[in-house]
Amino acid sequence: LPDPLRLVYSTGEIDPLPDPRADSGRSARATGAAKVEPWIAIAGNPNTGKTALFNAITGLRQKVGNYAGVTVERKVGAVALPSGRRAFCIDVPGCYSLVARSQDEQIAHDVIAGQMEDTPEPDLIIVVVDASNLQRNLYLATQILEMGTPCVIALNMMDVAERAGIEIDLPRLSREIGVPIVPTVAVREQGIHELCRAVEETLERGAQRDAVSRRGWRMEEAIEARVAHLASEITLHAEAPERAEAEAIWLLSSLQDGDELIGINPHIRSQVLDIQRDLDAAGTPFRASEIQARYDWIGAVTQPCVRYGERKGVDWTRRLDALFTHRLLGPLLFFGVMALVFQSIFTWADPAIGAIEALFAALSTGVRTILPEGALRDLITEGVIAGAGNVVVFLPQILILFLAISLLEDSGYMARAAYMMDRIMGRVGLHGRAFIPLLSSFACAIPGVMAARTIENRRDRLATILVAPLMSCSARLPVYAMVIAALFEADRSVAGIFTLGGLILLGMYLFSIGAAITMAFVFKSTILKGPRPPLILEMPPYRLPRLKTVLRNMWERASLFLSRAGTVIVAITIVLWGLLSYPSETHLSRQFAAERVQLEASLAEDGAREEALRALQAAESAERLRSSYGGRLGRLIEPVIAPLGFDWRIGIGLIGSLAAREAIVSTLGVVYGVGEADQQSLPLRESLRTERRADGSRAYTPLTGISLMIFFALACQCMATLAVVRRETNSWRWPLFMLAYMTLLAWVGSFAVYQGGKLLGFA
Amino acid sequence: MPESGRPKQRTEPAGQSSTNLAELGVGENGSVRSVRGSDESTFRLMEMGLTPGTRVQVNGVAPLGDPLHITLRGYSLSIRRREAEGIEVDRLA
Repeated sequence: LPDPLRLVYSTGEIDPLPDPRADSGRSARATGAAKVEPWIAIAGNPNTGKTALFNAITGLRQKVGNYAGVTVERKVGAVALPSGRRAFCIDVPGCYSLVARSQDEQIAHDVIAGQMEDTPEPDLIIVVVDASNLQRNLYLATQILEMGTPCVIALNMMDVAERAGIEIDLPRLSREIGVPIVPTVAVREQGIHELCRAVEETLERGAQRDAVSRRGWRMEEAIEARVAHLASEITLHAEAPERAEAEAIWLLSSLQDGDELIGINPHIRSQVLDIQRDLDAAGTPFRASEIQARYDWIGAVTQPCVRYGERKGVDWTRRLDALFTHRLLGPLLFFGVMALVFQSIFTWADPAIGAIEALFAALSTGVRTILPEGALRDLITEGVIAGAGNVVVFLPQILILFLAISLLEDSGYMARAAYMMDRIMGRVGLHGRAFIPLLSSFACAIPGVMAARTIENRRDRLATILVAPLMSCSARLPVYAMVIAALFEADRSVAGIFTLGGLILLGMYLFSIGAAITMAFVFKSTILKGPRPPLILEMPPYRLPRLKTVLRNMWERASLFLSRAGTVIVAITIVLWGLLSYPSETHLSRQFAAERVQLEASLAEDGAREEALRALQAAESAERLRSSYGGRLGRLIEPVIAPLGFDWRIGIGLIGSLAAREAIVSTLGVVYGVGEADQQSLPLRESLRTERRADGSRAYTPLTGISLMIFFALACQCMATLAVVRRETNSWRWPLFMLAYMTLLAWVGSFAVYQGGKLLGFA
Repeated sequence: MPESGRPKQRTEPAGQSSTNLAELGVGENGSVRSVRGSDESTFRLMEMGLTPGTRVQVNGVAPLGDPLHITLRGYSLSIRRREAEGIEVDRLA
């Protein structure tokens, strides 16, 4: 197998893809001849095998990014046409209609119409149509065809149609619709060569932009007259006269008071709204007439070309649905599947995570033996290598979760899961598909946030991303474990079968679920408020997932994480290392060096000397950390965190834990001068238990412990989460908002617990 | 009206009575008479093929009673009860 990462992401392997920004839609049209390579757009409904077709055509030569300003992914690939000529291919977001209300929905229309800022106008469109679901798929096709751009229809899933007993007279259908039709089975790469040949032939013919003749359907004369009038107005304002009628129809369907569409001429907009009002008043709303007219035409065109015979073999989808969506067995199987997903990312990733950590530790040790002592060595081992380790350590969970998600999506089960969960998730304003991202976040918010991409609606997706890090992830576990073991009688038995420690831990998990649900509800009724979109959930036939697709999806997600989020994580790790290691006070070095010499001279070479030297080493680390920028920052924030029951030592711990939550344990270990520490460390527990304030009272009481755990449950102490949210939302706005709201929530939560607890007499 | 749905399903209007899609029982068939409302969700459903004259079958109901699982034009779709109530159908025997 070739290494896909190299092929996809190193532009050295393939010819570099052009910078699309250099060539914007409208101007590309004006200077059409200057564009050497043709641009091909691939459009179609979801669940039609559009992505499989895109992959089959472009192979591994792809680039994944985002459309400017939105969270929608933009995939571009290179195609070698049969003559050897090269073309570029862009994957249009899957949709059931070009009609748009939101910016996300507008993308499909704008890419096809050449109005997308960062994408040249396509010279040809491949419309992917599911042969087993012809009528509904042709609905989108009618909208694309009338735009006037040369089209080729890829009639995909011919094998499924055949098994369902559907026979299609291809030559006749092609004549009726007026564009070439090529039968394909994209997942098996059948018909791909023929499709590319048809694409090249159509490109060479330089097919006429004959939009008017492509629109076979008509509405009532009164409505058509208004469309024609609007089209003539559009011709005055735009450069694409042959597309004016299609644009008029699109605007009449898409615009409404309160839509979020951009780049619409205000004069045209007000005319469109006037026409809509008139038609509504006349009792013939535009959209109803338009949709009916399209389906009437589709019915008339397909009727003589399509024959529905008897299904060949068993209707597995119907049988499996009877099982998987059964009133009792359905939910049981669902929880079984979810338990398996959870188990796999929570436990099965552990050995790989351990191996990665050991590998990077060994690498660090290796470098330490080669390089001379000094700042460079520390930068490489504690900054760069540790940072790379912080990135790679997420890969096992990401790969396993996307293995599960690919299997669930490709098999068709995900739609059934969303169907069963819609009622429950809807209660808090979340989509049924939000279940998997939130569940995954119990293991780690990174794959959880990435999994939210399966939710189409922007507001639902953002709400899920924003609350995913509230779910109690596995990095919080060491923090809870340390606090519970140090400050509570963790082993005390409660009601015979439970222990106090176990119950507190359970309480923290329940608390995190409650927090996530509450905040989801808050966001959905404030900043992400919007009309609840109707559930229009296609239940695709069950299919066997294909290994190639699954592996490809896993690799795509992993490499995007490495290249986009990974760089940010490494950078922040280096900054944190600098904060916690500088300034390096020379008087400290001198002082400790002198003490070491003194110790070595005064004590004999035995266990006691070893012990004393180790203690000195720990004391030096503690002193260095306290005098570092991070240490000073910890002191600086003490007044802010004092009302939560935290002192400056915890302040330093909080700064250290930005690298990863569990890092507070090792940071506190250094602060308390107990050397290397994990949550099992007895000296660290002892230090926490016996630490006194200036007034002699205990610095850490069970109340402080709960306050600290609440803080960690709510705060966004994880730069990797912020980095991945940036990548998924395509801006710094949302990660910064997340950091702000979670930090504030954590402060308020801990304040309430600590001050409330004190008022109630817990000290 | 166009010929919609799969022709192997019978289209004679025997024993028809008017109701809405949410009232159809599991396994029952209906023919869309009209889609009420002029809001976004109405038109989205029409775009998915729920236009007057289309044959619909209710395949099932989610374990918690909502949403519904329906078949139309040879494919399967899930919609909420609320939206289904806005779709008037003639019950087909």
